[in-house]
Amino acid sequence: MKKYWTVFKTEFQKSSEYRLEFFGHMIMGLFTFAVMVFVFRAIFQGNPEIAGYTFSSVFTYLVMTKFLHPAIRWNVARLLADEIKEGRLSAYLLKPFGVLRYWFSLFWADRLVDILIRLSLIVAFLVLLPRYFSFPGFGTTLSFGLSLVLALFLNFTFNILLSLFAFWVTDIRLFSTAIDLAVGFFAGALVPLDFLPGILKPASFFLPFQYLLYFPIRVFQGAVGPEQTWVGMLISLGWLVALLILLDYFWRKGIKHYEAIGQ
Amino acid sequence: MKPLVSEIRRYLRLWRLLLRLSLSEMLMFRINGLLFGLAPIVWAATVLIFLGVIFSKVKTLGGWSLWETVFLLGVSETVFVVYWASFLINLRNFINEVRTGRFDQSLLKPINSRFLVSFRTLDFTLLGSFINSLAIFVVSLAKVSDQIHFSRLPGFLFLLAAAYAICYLFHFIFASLAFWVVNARPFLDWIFEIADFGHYPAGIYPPSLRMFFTFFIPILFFGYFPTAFLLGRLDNLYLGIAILLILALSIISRLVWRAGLQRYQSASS
Repeated sequence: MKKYWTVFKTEFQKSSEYRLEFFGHMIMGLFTFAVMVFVFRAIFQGNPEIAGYTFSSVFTYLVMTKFLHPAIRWNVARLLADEIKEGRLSAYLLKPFGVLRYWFSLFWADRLVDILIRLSLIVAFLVLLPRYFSFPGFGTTLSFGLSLVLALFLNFTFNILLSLFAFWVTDIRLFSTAIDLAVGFFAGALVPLDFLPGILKPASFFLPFQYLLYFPIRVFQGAVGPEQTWVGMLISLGWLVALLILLDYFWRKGIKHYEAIGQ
Repeated sequence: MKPLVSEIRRYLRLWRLLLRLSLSEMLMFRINGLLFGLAPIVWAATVLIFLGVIFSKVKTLGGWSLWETVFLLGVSETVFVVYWASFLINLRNFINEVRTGRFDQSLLKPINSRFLVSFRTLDFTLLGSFINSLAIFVVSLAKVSDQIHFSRLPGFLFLLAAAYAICYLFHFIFASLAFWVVNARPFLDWIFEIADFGHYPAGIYPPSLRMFFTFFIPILFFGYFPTAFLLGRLDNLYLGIAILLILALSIISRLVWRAGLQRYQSASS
């Protein structure tokens, strides 16, 4: 465990160095957030409530997605896929640590810096915009924290699974962007899943991606009761276990197929 | 006059040559080129579903109907793909070249360096995106054809050309900041994000913001004004504003470029 902790500390220090770049990216995200606020304000002008949401709750939802969506994501799929494609995976395989555990340490270190800064900004919103943000209570905050941790695990596992396609395909960028967009959509990054029409709504509630964003945010907003919260987290855990089983299977298959081309 | 015509012909020939080079590069990996079109299809599907969600709750958005808004999306995205493929990718490379000192190679060539920096390659991997945005444009055009004032077609085409010119000049000015800052790439990324304001009817924004996005950060010219003009929602005044804006941005970009070249110091030996 000590070696992974060392990896974590090094990556944490590295991630903390480029704070200005981080704030630059956050400012960028504020532009699309502002557009969404204007769009939803126009929608709610004639309608006080839509699909159980008021403008205030949609505003809170949008703020949370803007903060959380970048926080739970990391480019681990493309980074690891590049290592596999370029044959640099060999260096990891020769070292006395688990490759996936190593990348897990990197992921957590990088994301922790991001999450700490973004959560502090959410606290600032709680203080500055009490009309839209109110402290949800310690129980709800704890549930939100747990669901966020599960979201991080789920996101990491799914992305590592995606990167394993690099054992068989020359460049995962061919489809990883498309998958990223689809996952973001079904996670509720663009619009709350309750707004989706027809078959899309039940489909989105069946898929695991709702637990990346939509579910933690709704827990934070107090829209999910205590029993539903625990059921949701158990289902999320179930999906995580399923993805880990798939990950283990495809990792073993991939390693047998790996040829270290480029090295 | 004759030297000017001959110079224009020379640069058109050069541009055709650069185009052929870009195309042959893309054709080396044909499947890659086609599969890169997959992401735009997914993106378009998510945005169209989003618009469907909005218009299932309201009849109009900023006074625009669903198909008018989809038409706006088609125009904006087509303009975006054209400018991304033709110069944005080159400006991003230029920023990198200045930062690493490799810009010398462009300065040493017997071609206008600004032309080379802006139009060196054409990104044909965006062919899938172009077809995608064109499909949205054509389908939505059929749906809004009864609202289109065909007498405004010349003005629409002019505004489309102006959109391209304004996009180019605006991006070029910010890319030229690479001569002063370590990494000017975030400026181009910011424009990319701000341009999202132009994907929706401007009626949803307050007047002060519309003014700001017309005269200071002219992103409404990128797609919204041409579309609004064709749909009869804009008067001829904006044709004049477009001309003035192009003139102003041309002067600013020329000044910034010259000042930047004087300041440039190669980082390589």
